[in-house]
Amino acid sequence: MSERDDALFDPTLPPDPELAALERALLPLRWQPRPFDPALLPPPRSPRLRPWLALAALLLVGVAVAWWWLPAMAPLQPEGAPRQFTAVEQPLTIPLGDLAEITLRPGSTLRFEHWRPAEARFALLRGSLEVRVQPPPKVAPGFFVVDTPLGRVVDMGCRYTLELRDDGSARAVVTEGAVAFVRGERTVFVPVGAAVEVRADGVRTPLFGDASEELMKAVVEYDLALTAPDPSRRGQTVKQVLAAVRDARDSLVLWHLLRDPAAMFREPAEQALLDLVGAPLPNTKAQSFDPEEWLAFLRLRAWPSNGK
Amino acid sequence: MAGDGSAQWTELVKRAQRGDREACAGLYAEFARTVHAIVLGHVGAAVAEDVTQEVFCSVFASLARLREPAAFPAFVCTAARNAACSALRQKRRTPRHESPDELAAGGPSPVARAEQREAAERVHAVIATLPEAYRETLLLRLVAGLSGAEIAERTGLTHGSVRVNLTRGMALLRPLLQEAGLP
Repeated sequence: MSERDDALFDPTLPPDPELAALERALLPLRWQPRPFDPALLPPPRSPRLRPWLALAALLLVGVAVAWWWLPAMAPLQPEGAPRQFTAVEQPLTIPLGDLAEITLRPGSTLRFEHWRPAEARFALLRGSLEVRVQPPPKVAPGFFVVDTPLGRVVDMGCRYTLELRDDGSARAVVTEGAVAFVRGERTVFVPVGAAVEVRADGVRTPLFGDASEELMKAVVEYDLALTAPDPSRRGQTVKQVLAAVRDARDSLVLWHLLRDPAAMFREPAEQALLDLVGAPLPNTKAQSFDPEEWLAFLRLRAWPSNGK
Repeated sequence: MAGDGSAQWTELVKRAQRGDREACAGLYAEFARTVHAIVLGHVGAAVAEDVTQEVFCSVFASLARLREPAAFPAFVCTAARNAACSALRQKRRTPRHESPDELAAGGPSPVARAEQREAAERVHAVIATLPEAYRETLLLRLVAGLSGAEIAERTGLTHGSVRVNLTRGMALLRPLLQEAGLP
């Protein structure tokens, strides 16, 4: 390559006269720098979704719905992993094999904890539900339990509703069989036709729906005194309860007094039971103070199974 | 703009793809003379500026589809060739009129400028008879004022190819210019 060719490739080298003349001659054609014209840019893209983007979004929604609904629709299995159910606008029915069926009411959330040979456990997180559990011997008493923030409902072969209220209380109403409600040291027995209320300060003694106002007030006083350190106050409330008991079904309250921690209160309660419904075992010592013995008798004689 | 230019362009292209107007202006400033020179290889000077503007319109409209920002120089050069060929097919020969600003500018009189431009277009007409590879490279060098290295960087040719195109192009051009009585 000659120096002329080098200058052709590299303009910083001394210019070749022929090349310089040619560049000068072409100077009028040289691009004249001008300000950038924004009109060269494409118009702003409208926010309309591209078809593929819309399709992807649709697919994503489908996956999310499937992820949400398919597990919820799949039946529960023994040893299945914990999962959560939510009834949004329609009731949601959750079968536990052929052992039980839960109907979760709209606006409610239930968590399935486990299903083991000896126990199936759920937790009601909000809202309300209705439970129907097969009676013994299909399902053993105590197998089906539902936890709430205020305590545990233990099935004893029944059908019941359980509601968590906005004020923080809970209420269980038994329509078949019976349940036990356990909170801390205290367990109450709720037979068919009766209901139990649970508040932050403790479990109330269950009552049948037709209990008198007087008895209801007396029971509340007793329940509140039950946790008080001074037993003398409780003695007063026991007297109020005994004074308010009139009907055989009121024996449900007396039976719970049999489980009072203090014998001094159990004795008048049992006497009241004897006066009200008679002795469970005529040929035995009347005052056994055995709640289990009394329970079987009362369920048969005083608390009819139809709840009336 | 040799050497580190491609990295700077790549960054400008990425920003322009995100809709950065300043980046678009930067790319325009950097490549306008290149595009103009390529377009001059196909169409007359009278329409080259308009076609150059159209090239940038189409480049910015389709910039989002450019997957590899580093390929922008080849992308814009190809767009320039395509637009110029398209303009040639349409046989657009709209004469370019000097703007009032140009007429009012200092320097040679309008008559002298017209004569200079006429002479330049005659030289351009001779260059236009060269094979495409030679004329494009020569126009990038003589009109756009790019060095051989810059031409290589923007067109994707090797330095050797650029040098060969320039040398052979000039070798073909000299007798043609002499024959036409041009410098």
